[in-house]
Amino acid sequence: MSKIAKKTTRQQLAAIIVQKLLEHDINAVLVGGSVVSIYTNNKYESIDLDFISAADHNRIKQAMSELGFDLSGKDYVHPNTEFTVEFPTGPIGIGDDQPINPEGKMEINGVTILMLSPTQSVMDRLAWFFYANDRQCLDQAIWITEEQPVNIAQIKAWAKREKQEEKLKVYLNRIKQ
Amino acid sequence: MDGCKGKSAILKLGIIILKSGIIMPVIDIGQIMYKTLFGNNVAKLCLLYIANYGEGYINGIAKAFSISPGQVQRQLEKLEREGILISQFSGNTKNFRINPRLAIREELKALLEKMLTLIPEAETKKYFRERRRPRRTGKKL
Repeated sequence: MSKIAKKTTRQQLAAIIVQKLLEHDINAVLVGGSVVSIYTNNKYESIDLDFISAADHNRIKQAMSELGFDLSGKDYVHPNTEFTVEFPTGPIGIGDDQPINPEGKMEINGVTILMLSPTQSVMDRLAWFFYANDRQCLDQAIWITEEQPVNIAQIKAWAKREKQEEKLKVYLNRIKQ
Repeated sequence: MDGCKGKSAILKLGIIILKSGIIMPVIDIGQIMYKTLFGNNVAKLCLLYIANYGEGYINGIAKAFSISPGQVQRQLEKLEREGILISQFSGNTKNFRINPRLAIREELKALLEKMLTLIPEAETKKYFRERRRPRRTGKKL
């Protein structure tokens, strides 16, 4: 396995972590801002890698310490990388849809990283726009849509369930432009 | 002068030259185009802020645009008297939002949304992209 170095990319780091976790029989799914960074080719840059895992935190801590990570508050930090890693409490949810199955994956150096799909990542960002009026997240949802194939019908059906069709119009109008 | 010929050149220079020869600074393209539609620039900024964030309060809007709270208060109260906005207290803070019973609510929101898309990227980032989603306490920025 490669060592964690300054030049280790977000994707490579995610693969290193997932591989180490799997050695400990721990499954984890990449969610949040890092997924947006990957799908937007870094148009949005996040230095956090958020993984959701049902595993016990002590087991995760053991695996992460083998990679050289120390726990600082809730973040795992490593001397050789600016990226921080967190394991927020699950399950994975998007708005009222909880739990959800991650439909995205990425192969890096032979390691499969489970993650939100582009469509799920758009919905995850739109949820913050719907419920917190966060326009940064609206922009991120639009950037993902510009870069990746997304299922608009699925997004519309989800927004209808969330009773957020009016706010969805803002997103739909923006992606038309 | 090139600055008079196109939108991008005007925005780059940050000035506009009127036919009379007077040079005016440009804060954003919306200021030149729409302030008369809303009565004045502060009323326009208040409405854009509220359309953007869903709601707004006097000091929040004043701080965002570096204008005096008194000016903001006058415009918000005027818009409330006219039935365009409603207000609600949350603790000690009076939050204003677009009146859900306003007959032209949909059209007004659509107009403001369109105006928001016409604001140059730098101004959008500066005035209309405050992080609103939560950040865990103690999280490093």
